[in-house]
Amino acid sequence: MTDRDKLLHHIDGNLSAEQAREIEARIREDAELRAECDLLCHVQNRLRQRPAQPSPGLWEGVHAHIREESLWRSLVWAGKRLVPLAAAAAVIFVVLIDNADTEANVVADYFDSQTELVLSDIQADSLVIYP
Amino acid sequence: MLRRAFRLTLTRTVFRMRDEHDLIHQCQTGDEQAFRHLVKRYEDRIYGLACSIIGDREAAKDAAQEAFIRAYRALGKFEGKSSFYTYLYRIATNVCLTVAQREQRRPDSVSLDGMQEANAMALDRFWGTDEPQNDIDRIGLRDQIQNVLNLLSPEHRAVVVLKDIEDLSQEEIANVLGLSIGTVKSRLSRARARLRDLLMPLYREWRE
Repeated sequence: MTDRDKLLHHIDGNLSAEQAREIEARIREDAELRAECDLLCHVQNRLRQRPAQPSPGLWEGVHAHIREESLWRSLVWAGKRLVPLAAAAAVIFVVLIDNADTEANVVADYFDSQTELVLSDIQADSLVIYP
Repeated sequence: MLRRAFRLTLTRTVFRMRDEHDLIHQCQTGDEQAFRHLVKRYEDRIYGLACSIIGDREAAKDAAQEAFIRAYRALGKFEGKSSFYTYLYRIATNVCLTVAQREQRRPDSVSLDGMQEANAMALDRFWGTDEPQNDIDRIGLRDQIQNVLNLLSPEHRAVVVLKDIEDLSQEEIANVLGLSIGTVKSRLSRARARLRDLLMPLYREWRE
């Protein structure tokens, strides 16, 4: 590792105590290295002094998004619960209709058979009255 | 007197932590107003972080909002092992890095060399050591610091921002960015080398 590399690590405190002493001695001797050290320290100090940046107000945007998401979540939640219910209702409806249809057919058949009996009686009576 | 001041500070800190714990618990039960308090408490810091990493105020505003939205979504899984701010910080830094990388890849973005040259020329406030005295000075210095940060790639900028502006330790940076400490050290070193190489001629010029 060159002195220049060591200097970069020294700025962030990543050298051992012995290495740090060595590089500090080199900085005192070497004007070029000293200039680099000054620059790096200056940049670091300026970044630390960065004036605060007040927020333009984030809540409105965050809130609108949360609301929208919450609405969608509610719809999905309702959907997840309503779809099986609707499916079950549809099955029940179909079964009932089918049963009703069968019962209606039985009743109709019954009436048909009764009607046929009555008609045959009428025809039999007719035969008796008008031989 | 000193003891009283210490007790007062300690009491305030405990109340603040207690207050924050309650707010988080309320958020987890769906209380939006409790989350509003948390947003108001941290929005300046998160927006400042986003500005430093992204370098564009409008994009920074969107990224900061996105960070809060993601934090709200995942709040149900927040167990309180780290502080809420660390949790928020991690989300915000990752959102900002993604945005900064995307912005850099945009084909219509200004060429890097041209931007570096233009940025490096106007650093009169940056080179001085004076504290800014008024709003104009403060804005000027802030813009020039941003110009210096923009010389770095998003990955390098993020570690420098977290270390020098946000004052995080290297372990904390590794935790926030999900990197090893070795990678953090290496990125910091490369970022500083790049700043040194780009700024040294201008620094010499300014000193002479």
